[in-house]
Amino acid sequence: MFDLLISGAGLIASPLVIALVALGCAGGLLVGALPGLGPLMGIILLLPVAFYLPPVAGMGMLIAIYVGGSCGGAVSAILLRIPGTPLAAATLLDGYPMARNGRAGDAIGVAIAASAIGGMFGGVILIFFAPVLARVAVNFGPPEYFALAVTGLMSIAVVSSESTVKGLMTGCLGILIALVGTDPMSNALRFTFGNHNLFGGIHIVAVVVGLFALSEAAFQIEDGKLGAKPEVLNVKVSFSSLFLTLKHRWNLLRSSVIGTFFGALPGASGIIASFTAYAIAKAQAGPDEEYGNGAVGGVVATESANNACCGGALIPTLALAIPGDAACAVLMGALLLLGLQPGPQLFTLSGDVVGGVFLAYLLANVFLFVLGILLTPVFVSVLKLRKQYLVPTVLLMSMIGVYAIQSSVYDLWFAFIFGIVGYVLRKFQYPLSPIVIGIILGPIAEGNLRRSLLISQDGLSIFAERPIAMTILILDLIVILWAILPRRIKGRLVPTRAL
Amino acid sequence: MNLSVSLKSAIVAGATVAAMAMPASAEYPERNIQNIFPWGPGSAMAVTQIISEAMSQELGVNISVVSTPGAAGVKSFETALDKPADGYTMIDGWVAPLVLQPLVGNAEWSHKDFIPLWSATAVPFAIVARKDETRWSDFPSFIQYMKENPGKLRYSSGSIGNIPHMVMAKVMQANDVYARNIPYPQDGDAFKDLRGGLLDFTFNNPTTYRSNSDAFKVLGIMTENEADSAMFDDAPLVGEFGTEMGLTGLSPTGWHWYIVKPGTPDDVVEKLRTAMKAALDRDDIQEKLKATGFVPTMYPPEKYDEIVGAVGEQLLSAKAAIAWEADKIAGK
Amino acid sequence: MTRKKQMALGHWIVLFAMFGIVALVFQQIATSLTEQGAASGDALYNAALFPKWVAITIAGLGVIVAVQMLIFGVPDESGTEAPAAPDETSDNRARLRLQEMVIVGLTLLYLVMLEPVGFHVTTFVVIGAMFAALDARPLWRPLVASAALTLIASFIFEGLLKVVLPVGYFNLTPPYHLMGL
Repeated sequence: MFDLLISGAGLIASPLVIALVALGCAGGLLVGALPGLGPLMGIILLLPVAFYLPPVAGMGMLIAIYVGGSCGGAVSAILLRIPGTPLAAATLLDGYPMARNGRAGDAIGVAIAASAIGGMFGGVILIFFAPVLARVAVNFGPPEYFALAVTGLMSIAVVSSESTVKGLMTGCLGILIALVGTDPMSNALRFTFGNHNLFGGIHIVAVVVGLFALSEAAFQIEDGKLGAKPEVLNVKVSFSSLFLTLKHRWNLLRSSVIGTFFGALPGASGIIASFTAYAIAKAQAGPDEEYGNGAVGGVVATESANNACCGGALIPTLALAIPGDAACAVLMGALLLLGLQPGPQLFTLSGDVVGGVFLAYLLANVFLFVLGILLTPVFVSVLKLRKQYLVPTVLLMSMIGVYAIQSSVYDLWFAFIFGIVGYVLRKFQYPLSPIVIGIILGPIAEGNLRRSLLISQDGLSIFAERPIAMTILILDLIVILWAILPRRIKGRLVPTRAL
Repeated sequence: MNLSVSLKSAIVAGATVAAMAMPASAEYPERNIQNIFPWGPGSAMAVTQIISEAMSQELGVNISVVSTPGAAGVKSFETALDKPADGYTMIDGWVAPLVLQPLVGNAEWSHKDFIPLWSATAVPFAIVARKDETRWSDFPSFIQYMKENPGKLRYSSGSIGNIPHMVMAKVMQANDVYARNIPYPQDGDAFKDLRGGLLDFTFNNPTTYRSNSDAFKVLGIMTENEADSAMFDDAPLVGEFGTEMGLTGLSPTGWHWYIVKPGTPDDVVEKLRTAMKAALDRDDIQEKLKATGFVPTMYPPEKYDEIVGAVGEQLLSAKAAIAWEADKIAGK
Repeated sequence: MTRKKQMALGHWIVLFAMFGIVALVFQQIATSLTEQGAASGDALYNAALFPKWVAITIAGLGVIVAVQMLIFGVPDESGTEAPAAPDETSDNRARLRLQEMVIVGLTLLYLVMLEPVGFHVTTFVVIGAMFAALDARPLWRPLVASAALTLIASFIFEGLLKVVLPVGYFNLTPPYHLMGL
C-alpha cells in the first residue's frame, strides 16, 4: 500500500495540483453553503474543466469539491437554520442552537474540524482497507440493505425526542413523499394524480429547501426586529475549535466509523450516516450535555460522520466501480474520461494515480480545515446583515439553487408547497428532520424488501438464510424492545448510572 | 446618509442597468446553452459532457449538461419541451424517452416531432455471468441449464422494460427459455449482487464489463456487429450460437441522438449541426468516447427518420418478448 | 377566540390533515393503482403494499397523538421552536403577519414571473420589492441592494457555475462568455 502512496506523492507534489485542490475545496464550501446546490452539483458543473487536466490534478480538484461541499452545508445550517445541503439536516439540530447561544464561531469551527478529522479517518480507511471493505460490501445484498434501512428509520425516535410519536409520523410522511412518482420496480405511477411533473418524483433538494429555508424565512419575519442591527460578536480566526472537537474524541471516532461504514455501502448516503451518528451520540451522552440545545457533541457527530462518508463512498467507487453515492458516480465518470478504469484492476494497473487520488483526498481535508477556519469570520459576518436584507437574499439564493439542479420551475413550486408544509409542521411541533430520513430511507427500505422477496420466491425466509441481515434485524428488535421497556424494569437490569 | 454614498450607489445602479440592457448581438449563440440529459450521473453523462464540451469549443459559449432523471427519461424531455425553441436548449435524446416510452404509451411524442442534429454514440450489451460459475461454461450450456431449470435463474437488466431487458428477453425467447428479472435502481448494485451470488447473470456494457472483468465472463454479445466483440475481450456474439434476435442495427443497443425542440430556427439548427459534426470528427474526442465504452455512430441528420423509424418497429417485437417472459413467469 | 384556543384548533386541524393523507393513500390505491394493476400481485407488481403499511402506521401514530391531546391537552407554546415575537406589541405582531403574507405573495410572484419574464428582471423587481416590504428605507437602498444582489447571483450562477437561468421575454443576460468566463 505504501508503494502506491509513494508513487502517488510524485504526482501530487506539483503547484498546479495543490492549487487546484485548495481552489476545489473553497469552491466546494461555497456550493455547499448555498442552499440548494451541493457537492454533486459542484462536481457536475466543474467536470468539463477537469477534462483538460492531468488525471491526478483533475481528480484532486473534483474530490476537493466533494469534500468541501459535504462540509459547506453545515455553515448555513448553523448560521441560518437552513441546511445548505440535505447532508447537513442533522447538523442544525445542535449547530443552530449553538449559534443562537452566541457561539456561531465555535459551532462552525467545530463543524469544520470534525469534518476534516472525520474525512481523514475515512481517507485512512480508504487507503488501507479499500479492497477488504469492498469485499465486505459485496456481501450486503437487498436483505441486508432492508435491515439497515430499518435501523436507520429507528434513529428517527432519538432525533425527535421532544415528540417521538410526531417524529415517527413525519418520518412516515417523508417515506410517502419519496414514493411519489414512477415505482422503480413495477413502473406503475404512484400518487401522481395524472400530473406529468410528478412522474419523476419530487427532488429531495426541493423538499429540504422548502421545509427548512422557506419556512425559516417566515419564522424570521414573525420574530420581528427586521431593521435592527444584529448584535453579533466579532469572530476572530481561531484554531481553538480543534481542541473543543478533540474533547469529544470517542464520539469523533465512533461517528467517523459509522460514516465510513455507511459510505462504503453504495446507496446508503451521508445523510443516514450523520443522523445515525447523531442518534448514537445522543443516546450515549451524559446528562449534562443538552442535546438539541447546542451540544458540541451533536455537531461533532453529524459532521465527522458525513465527511467520513466521503472517504467511505470512494471505497466501492474505486475498488468495485460501484459509485457510493451520486457524487461518486460523477467522479467515476471523470476517472473513465481521464483514461482510468475504476474497478479491482485500478489498483494494479494505475497504482500511481490511485495513490495520487488518495493523497489528494487527504490534502483536501487538510485544506478544508485550514480554509474553513480562516473563512469562519467571513461566514459569521453573514449574520451581521439586517433581517430585512438577509431574508430576501436567502430566499433568492434558495430559489436559484433549487432551479439550477434540474432547470425546472416545477421544482420551485414543490419547494414553495413544502415551505408551507414545513411552516405548519414547525408551528405545531412536528419535527422536520425525520422527513429527510424518511425520504432517503423509504425507497431503500421498500425497494430492497421487494427485491429480497423477488429473489427469495419463498417469502420472508430469505432473511433467515442471510446471517448478516438476520443479525441486524435481531439487534433492531432488541433496541426497540429495550426502548419500550418500562423504566422500572430497566432500572433493575442496569445500574441507574448507565441510563 | 451623505451625498457621496448616495451618488456612488446611483452610479452602481446605473451601471447595473446598463450592463443588463446591453444590446444583444443578433449572432447565435450569444449566451450559454444547456443540454438536458435523461439519466443520473455516470458514464453516459460523462460521454455527453465530452461531446457538449467539444461542441462548446466550436460555438464559443459554454454548454452545461443538466441531469433530470425520472420516469424512464420522460422527465428530461418534458423539461426541455417547457423551454423556448431558441436553440439554447438541446436534448440528449436517448432511445428510451425518444422511442421506447412513446411506444409503451408513457409519452405523447414520436421521434418525428423533433429536429435531429447528429447521432451521438451507441452502447452494445452482453450477457455476463460469474467467472467461477460451475453450472455452465459457455452460452450453449447456459441456455441448456435454463431449459432444464425453467424460470429458476435470476438476472437483472437494470430496470424492468428497458432496452437491455428487451434485448435479453428477445435472446431468451429465441432460445425458448426464460428467467426472472430483478429490477435495481442502480445498475452497479445489480453487478454487486452478481458478484455476491444473489443473481445468476446480468447485462453488461463495455464499461461495466471492463470494471468487473476480474469476476465476470461474457457469455454472449447481443448485437450483430462483429466489431463489438473487441470491446468485450473478443467474446462471441449470440448469433454465433444460432440465436436469431430479430434486432438489427441500432435496435439491440442503447443509443442517443442529439435533438432540438420543433420550431427551432433553421440557421440555429444548422449551426448546432455543424458544431456537432466538427466535435465528433475530432480524433481525440473519438478516442475518449471509445475509451469510455461508447461507440460514436456518426449518422447524419438526414438518416434520422430512416434509422430511428426502423428501431421503433423492431422494439415493438422486443416488447412482445417481455410480455412473453412475464406470462411464462406467471405460469401461463 | 383566545390564542390558546386557536392553537388547540390548529393542532387538531394538522392531525386531521395527517388522517387526510392516510385516506388519500387508500383512495389512490383503490383507484389509480388498481387500474394500473399495481395494487396486487407479487413483490414486483404490488406497488401498493408498502405505502399501505406506511399509511396505516401514520394512522396508528395519529391515534396516539389524538389520545395524548385528549388526556393531556394540546402541547403548550413553550415548546415551540420560535415563539412568535415575544417582545413585540400586538399591533406590531399584526404588521409582521402582514409583512409575512406580502413576502409569501412576492415569492409566488417570483415563481410565476421567472420563466416568462426572465431571471434578471424578475429578481431585480421582486427581491427589491421584498426588501422594501420589510421596511428597508430610504427607497434607493432596496433598489441598489436588489440590483447588486441580482448581479452577484448572476455572476455566481451564470458566470462561475454556468447554470442556464431563464432569460425570458427580454432576452437579457450578461455576456459572460465574452468576458472569458
